[in-house]
Amino acid sequence: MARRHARPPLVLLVPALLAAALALLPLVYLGVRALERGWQPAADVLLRERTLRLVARSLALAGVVTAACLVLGVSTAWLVVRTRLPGRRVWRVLAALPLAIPSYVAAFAWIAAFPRLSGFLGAALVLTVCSYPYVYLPVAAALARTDPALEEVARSLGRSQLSTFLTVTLRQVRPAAAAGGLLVALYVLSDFGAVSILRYDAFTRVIYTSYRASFDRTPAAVLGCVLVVVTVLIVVAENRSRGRAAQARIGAGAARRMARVPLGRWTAPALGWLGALAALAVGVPLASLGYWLLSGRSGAVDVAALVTAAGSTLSVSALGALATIVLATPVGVLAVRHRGRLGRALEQSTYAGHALPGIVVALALVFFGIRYASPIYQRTPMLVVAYVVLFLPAAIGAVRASVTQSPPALEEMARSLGRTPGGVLRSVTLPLAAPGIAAGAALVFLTCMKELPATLLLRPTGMDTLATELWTQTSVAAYSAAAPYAALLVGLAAAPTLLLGRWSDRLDAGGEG
Amino acid sequence: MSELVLAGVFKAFGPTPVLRGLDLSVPAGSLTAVLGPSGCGKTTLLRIVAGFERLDAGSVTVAGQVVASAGSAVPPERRRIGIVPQEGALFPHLSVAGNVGFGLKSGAGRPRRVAELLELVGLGGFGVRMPSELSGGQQQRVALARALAPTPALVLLDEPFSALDSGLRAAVREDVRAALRAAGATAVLVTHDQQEALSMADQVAVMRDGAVVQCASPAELYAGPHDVGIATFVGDAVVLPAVLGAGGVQTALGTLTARAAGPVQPGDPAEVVGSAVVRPEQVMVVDEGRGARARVLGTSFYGHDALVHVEVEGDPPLVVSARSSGVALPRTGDLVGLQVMGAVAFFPGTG
Repeated sequence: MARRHARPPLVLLVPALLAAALALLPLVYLGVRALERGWQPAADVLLRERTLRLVARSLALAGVVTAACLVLGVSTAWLVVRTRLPGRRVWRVLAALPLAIPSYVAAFAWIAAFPRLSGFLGAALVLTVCSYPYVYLPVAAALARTDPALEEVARSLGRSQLSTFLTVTLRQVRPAAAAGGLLVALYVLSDFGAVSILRYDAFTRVIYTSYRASFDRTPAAVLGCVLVVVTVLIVVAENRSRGRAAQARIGAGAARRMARVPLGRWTAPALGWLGALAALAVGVPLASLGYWLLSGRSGAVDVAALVTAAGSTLSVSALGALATIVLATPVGVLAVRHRGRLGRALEQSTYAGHALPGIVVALALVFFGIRYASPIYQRTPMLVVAYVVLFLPAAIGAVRASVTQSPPALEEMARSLGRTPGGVLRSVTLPLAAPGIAAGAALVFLTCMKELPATLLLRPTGMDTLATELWTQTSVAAYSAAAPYAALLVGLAAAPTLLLGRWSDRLDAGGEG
Repeated sequence: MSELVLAGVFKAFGPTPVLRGLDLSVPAGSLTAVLGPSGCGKTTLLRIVAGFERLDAGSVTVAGQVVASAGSAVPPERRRIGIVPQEGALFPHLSVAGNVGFGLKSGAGRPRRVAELLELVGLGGFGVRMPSELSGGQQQRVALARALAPTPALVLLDEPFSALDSGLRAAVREDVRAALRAAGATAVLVTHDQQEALSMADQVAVMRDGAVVQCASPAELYAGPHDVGIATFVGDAVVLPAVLGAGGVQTALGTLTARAAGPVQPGDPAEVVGSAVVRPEQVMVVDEGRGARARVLGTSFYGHDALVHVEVEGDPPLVVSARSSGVALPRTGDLVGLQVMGAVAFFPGTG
């Protein structure tokens, strides 16, 4: 039913406007800086042959990694969800585990084990084994959800098992695979740590070196803009291609559980395939990490520095999570409850963070901070602002989901019992959304702890976090000194991955009966 | 005095008019049922009274104060109107006592008032439970207690029993009716269930296409509907082609007495063609030879009573249902006689 929406209350509107303004600031300011010296210098940077080669190099890396992730992710998902694979539960956890290893930690582990593994091949290998779960997880969920009746009908119409898989099953999981592939492509384009450690000159690394190397800010700003444009084009293209593939289960009733395909003589090759993948994605990094941890006992580990870095990491991440969720909550509530033009515009502007790689946000805030906000530049507030811009979308998603779940009738009820709109927010909307808001805050907290480029560029003078210490030690090849930081980071990052695993367990339990 | 008065209420969603000049007056202390098929605009009516929707024209007056007109609307929290929605909509994060006390000012009186209301709806001692620990009927009663707690000027019930299973529904209806009476509340019940409307309400307003087409006491509405559509909507009905003349209503079931003063007065030579509406319980199945001759086509047995479907001889043959006690039902194929008891409603015009 169409409903008229009253003007949103100011307690929501003011922070939401602030959030939108903050989210748009880096993007706008980056454009301003790129064109500051006029069009000519900007065009010079843009039309250099080096720039074109850079675009090609980054796109090649993103393309190769995405394709590899699609093959690995879909095949693993099918083996784990649809076949009688021995030890399915173990494989399910192992397949999601690479998410627990930040890409720059994996890159550190690989280069510490194989020092000559650098350049395109190294970057492609490390990024692939780190990010294929982005395809595996949604495809596994989609495979568990699909209606087996469709495949049964295809078989009864004379299609072979293989042809059914290709024409029916794959088509059903295509939206999930495409969404996962998009995540991988965006992840690769915005990745800074892995390509830098593996010395592959992708966009992010070149932007960083150009910023460090010269006082002329134009090249870095222009390259940042180009990276944003490339990112946005990929998102738009994916959106376009999705429009045509409508998926729906017609008719009510729960889908029956599907029969699992017996692997027969293919069991050993399947196990070998999954085993090799797990060895590359999890085994090598952990083994390398373990080796450098143990070999570094001779005194290279500075325990005091480790504790200080851990403390700084926790405190800036907590501040980042707090600020992000405080700004995300009003935007999320507005987006669900006041679907007017204003609410939608505010929500969409906060999604700028999705299209902005961390290095670009960091750079824009550096430029902005030096000129207009020097009192907070290279102090904690500036870093917190960067976290807010980067992680607002994730936090808003969590808030949105939980507000959507509580029926609007409850809020109308509270109004009829004498509560003002503000009172309804306090006594009904927020208490009901509290679990989602808390989950969003926890997610942002853990993501802040792993964040590298913005932390590197914007951390307060003299402060080091786990991520920046790992970066510093790795760049001088002090691998055993870097190992404890890497181990701590893996431990911290493992927490949300375990939660994710539990969640997909529950999803799967539905299909298993 | 009327507690709620709606005058000429218009409301459209985009180009689709939903309410077209609706008038309704609800006397203080009474329960008025708004009865209509789904999509007739009754939920929109309720939302306008509660203050969740604005109206386009007309006015809503509650306890003598205009709360909504084309230009202005009192916000819901200042209308003193309680609501019992379809699914109860209890706050899941609050206990039963927290729900009931939600609309009360915090203070010394609150726990007493909460206990009093829980007692009223027959749930004394349930205060510490959470909504998820209650059955559907109990949730509905808590929702009523919550709506009554701030002593509202008016209580709106939006199909509050439709989510309950049929066995429970009758019992919860009785409880809710009793609690509303005990609280002396003025109430509006929106429903599409004619049985519910007739059995609970003091006054029934029938809605069709966004307007009230008849507003009367349940007995009056059932016996004297304003048109054939209302007649068939508020209960089972047999619609017979009929001619109204000086001697009465001539139908295939014999000459019947017309209810109320119609278009033809006694002694008037003119005859009017139209339809007569007969309720199945007015049709008596008697032995063959008395009344109109008919053949039994079959029976529908409901336990407490039964419907006997018969075909009355004639050209064309006419199918009629008669309500029977269900004790000694005739068999299919039997020849029986039919007699009509009491006056029938006559509507001039064909079609």
